[in-house]
Amino acid sequence: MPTGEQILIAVLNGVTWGLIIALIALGLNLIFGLLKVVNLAHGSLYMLGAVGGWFVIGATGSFLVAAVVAPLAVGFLGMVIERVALRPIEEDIPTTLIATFALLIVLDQIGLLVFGPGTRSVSAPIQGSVTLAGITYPLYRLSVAVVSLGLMGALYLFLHRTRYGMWMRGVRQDLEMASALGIPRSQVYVVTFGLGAGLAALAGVLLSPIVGVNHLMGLDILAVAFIVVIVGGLGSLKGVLVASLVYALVENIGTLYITTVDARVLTLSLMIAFVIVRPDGLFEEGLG
Amino acid sequence: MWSLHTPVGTVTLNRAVLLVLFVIALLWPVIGVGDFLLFLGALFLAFGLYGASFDLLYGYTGLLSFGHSVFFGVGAYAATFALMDYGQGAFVGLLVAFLATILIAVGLGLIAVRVKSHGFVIVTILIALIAQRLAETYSGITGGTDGIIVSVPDIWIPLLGEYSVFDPTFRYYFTLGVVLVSLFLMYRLVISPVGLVFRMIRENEQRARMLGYNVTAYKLIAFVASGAFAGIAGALATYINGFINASRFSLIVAGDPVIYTMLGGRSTIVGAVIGAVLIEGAGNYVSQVTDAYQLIVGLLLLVMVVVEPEGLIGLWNRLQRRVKRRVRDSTPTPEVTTDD
Repeated sequence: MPTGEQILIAVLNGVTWGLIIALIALGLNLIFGLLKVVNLAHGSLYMLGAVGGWFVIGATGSFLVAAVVAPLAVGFLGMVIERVALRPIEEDIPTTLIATFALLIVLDQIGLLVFGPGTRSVSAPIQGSVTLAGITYPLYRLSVAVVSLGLMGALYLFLHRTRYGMWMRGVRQDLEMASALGIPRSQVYVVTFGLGAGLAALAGVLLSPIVGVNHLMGLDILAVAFIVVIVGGLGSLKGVLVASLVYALVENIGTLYITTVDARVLTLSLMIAFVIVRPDGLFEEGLG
Repeated sequence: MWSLHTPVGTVTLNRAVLLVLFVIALLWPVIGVGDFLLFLGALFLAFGLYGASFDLLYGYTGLLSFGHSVFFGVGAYAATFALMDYGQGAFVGLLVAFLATILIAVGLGLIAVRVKSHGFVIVTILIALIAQRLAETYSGITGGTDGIIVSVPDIWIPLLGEYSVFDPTFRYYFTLGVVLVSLFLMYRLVISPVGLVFRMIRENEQRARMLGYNVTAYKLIAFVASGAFAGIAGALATYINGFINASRFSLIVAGDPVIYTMLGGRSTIVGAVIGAVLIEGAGNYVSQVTDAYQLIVGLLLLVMVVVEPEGLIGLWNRLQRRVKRRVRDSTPTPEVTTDD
């Protein structure tokens, strides 16, 4: 039987992991909510963030610079993708899905070409650990959890307190009415895609000291991000947060009892079983 | 438009082109292309069947699946186990592949077709990603990336006798035969009343439901039929390669039929076969020159869907319409409007 300390560590890991997944999946669901595009290349954008961050750290030696530059660059790439690849076919949703799948292949291959195969590690910018309730826990992981929470709070404020956020909610609620009122729909789409891409890339940079950098890391996260999006409800931001936390907690606590791979398969199976019972997910669509 | 009336039917330009392609496929071994091209020809036909099975689902029912690698892989492994572990023949292997994929497709389909709107796409890609992970992890069963060598026993054809699959010509015709029968069955399915419902679901799911059709059941039928033929394609590809490994389940493999279908043209069945031959044929040479082959394929797919979502057949039709319009414009007689 695992001890109380082990369980506490698993819970902390679960919360951190869950918050990061939520950050990635929020972007995915934000894009879906507005553009109705399921961005299959989302994991690749996350990977590009980590790879880009690795190069920036190599060039400047600063993690902080990487955490700013890489997400901005990938965010800009996302805006270009929306404008160039998705805009011409935005009326035809299945075709946009195929386009994002093509992007997945292209971006992953670019990752392989510039980064090469194999995993490389990144040293955490915050060393040391904290001791609480009888356990020691890496300070960096706690910081990641806090930063993720902060980012989600910022996203909430952005959606509710800024002009663009209001436009985004408007476009999502009633596209025709929003267009009639003069909201620049195309511009909102570009910004939304860029924002989602940037968030995924930032998550990639933040996670790179924990999981390492690898050109295939996007595929792993894609499965997880998709399952929490399905379980949370397509388009529901609240649902994503809840599902991410549940997923990560179940998986991390599961690893105390069974192997890592079995825990992941078990968690995914549980999630899929949930989908059978409730195909529409936890929450109906709603931007909140 | 150009057409030729013969006692057996009207030959339009499209049919003439198809006929020529068919004759080339039929005579491929006879025109002396050599063993390697015979091997490639058989392999591309199997990939073409894989693509066509995807088209059955996406082109006709409108369900976009990125999880076809699962059926391709399950069919391949089912046939492998039937041959290697139970000593069965090649035809039994195909049958086992067919039945095993049906079983898997029913199970996965019950999850996938119930999720609303684009959830289907997500669930299929999830299935593919999970299968990939499982195939890599349980390498004791799948042989991992090292794979399993598959030796196919000699095949006995009624009236013709026994042949070895190592005979390139026989291997080619065996594949061609299985692929043609499968394509024919798929074609029969899509022109049947059931196929009509498939297309109605693609065009207007809500109306189909309103008219009293059990949309979920029809989607499941399409999913299972499509998966079963992908399973046969997987088994065929394994027979031809004489080898199988866990990378059959990779996401790249899941994308292949999408690329074939989009390049060839959706809702045509045969378009995917043409797309497969073109892509794989080109890939065979390109991959010798550059490592960036997958990158090129991805870019090609991206440009294709953004510029011409109907694929080569769409381009072809558009070209024909343009010629037709030019001919019509230059004719002074009053035109009779007809539907195409």
